[in-house]
Amino acid sequence: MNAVAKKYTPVAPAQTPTPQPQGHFLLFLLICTILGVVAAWQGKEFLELDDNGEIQISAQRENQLTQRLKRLNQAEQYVLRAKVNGWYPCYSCETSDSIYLFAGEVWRYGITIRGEKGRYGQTLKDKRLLYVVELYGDVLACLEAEAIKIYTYPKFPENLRRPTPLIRPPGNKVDL
Amino acid sequence: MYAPFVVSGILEETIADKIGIPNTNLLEDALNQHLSLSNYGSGLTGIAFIYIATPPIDEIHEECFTYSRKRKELFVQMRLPYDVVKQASVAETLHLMARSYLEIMDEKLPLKKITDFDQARFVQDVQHLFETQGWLEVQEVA
Repeated sequence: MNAVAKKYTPVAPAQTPTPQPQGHFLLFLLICTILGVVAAWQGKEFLELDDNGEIQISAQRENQLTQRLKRLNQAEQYVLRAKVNGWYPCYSCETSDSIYLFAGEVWRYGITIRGEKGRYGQTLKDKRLLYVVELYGDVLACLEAEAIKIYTYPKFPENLRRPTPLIRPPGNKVDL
Repeated sequence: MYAPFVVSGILEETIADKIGIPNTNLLEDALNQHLSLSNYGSGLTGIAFIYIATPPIDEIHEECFTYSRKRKELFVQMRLPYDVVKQASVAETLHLMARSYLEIMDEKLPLKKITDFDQARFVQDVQHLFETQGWLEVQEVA
């Protein structure tokens, strides 16, 4: 008669029961409560009650709105022009990724608002371009001027001289 | 940077031609042809100098003088007096640009404490170069 092998089951050594970390749990609960209260308080920071008990936008948010509207009124429409004769990246060329520009020719039209400081100066150090501001005004006026310049670019003499005229300036990837 | 010395401008349209293509290129070419940054140490490999000439309404572009230790590049944006440039000829504007370049380098470069770069000798050589070109002669703007 065959003996059936009994499966070996290791016997774990008896462990002394560890005390329940009740103190840690209470501390965790306390921290969660504090965080919850802070989050709830911060979440309502954008609202305030005025003297009549009416709900109003907080003074901080009002100030942010004022600053935002101010920035939107301090926009500019600019053109980036080639500084020297040479090859420049071309995003609107059909068959090439670069184009030969003569000094002074348009590479790109754009707009910027206050708050984008430094961005375009840094562009100038990497490309042989000059940044020329063509219009100061609110963001809508600048967007309109930019659109007109991009859409009318195809009939510019510098573009018509090319064997294959471009639909938009070489540095503009899209119309707007 | 496309060259060790880059000179460019953020310019209002009506005065762009005074600073723009003729003068920024003259300064940039002279610096690149006559000076080599490696002669002054390894701490600086590029200097970009951007002139700002826009009316007071412009609150977007601001002056700065920053050094990137990682890239070993100096980036300068410096405002020229708009009303003075408006009155000045192209030649007078070039003199103003050269003088401003030298003054800013002389005044602000030592503050950056760039290691392994002989700032004093560099400023001296820029001055000598501009003097040789006749760009530091005082010209009264009408």
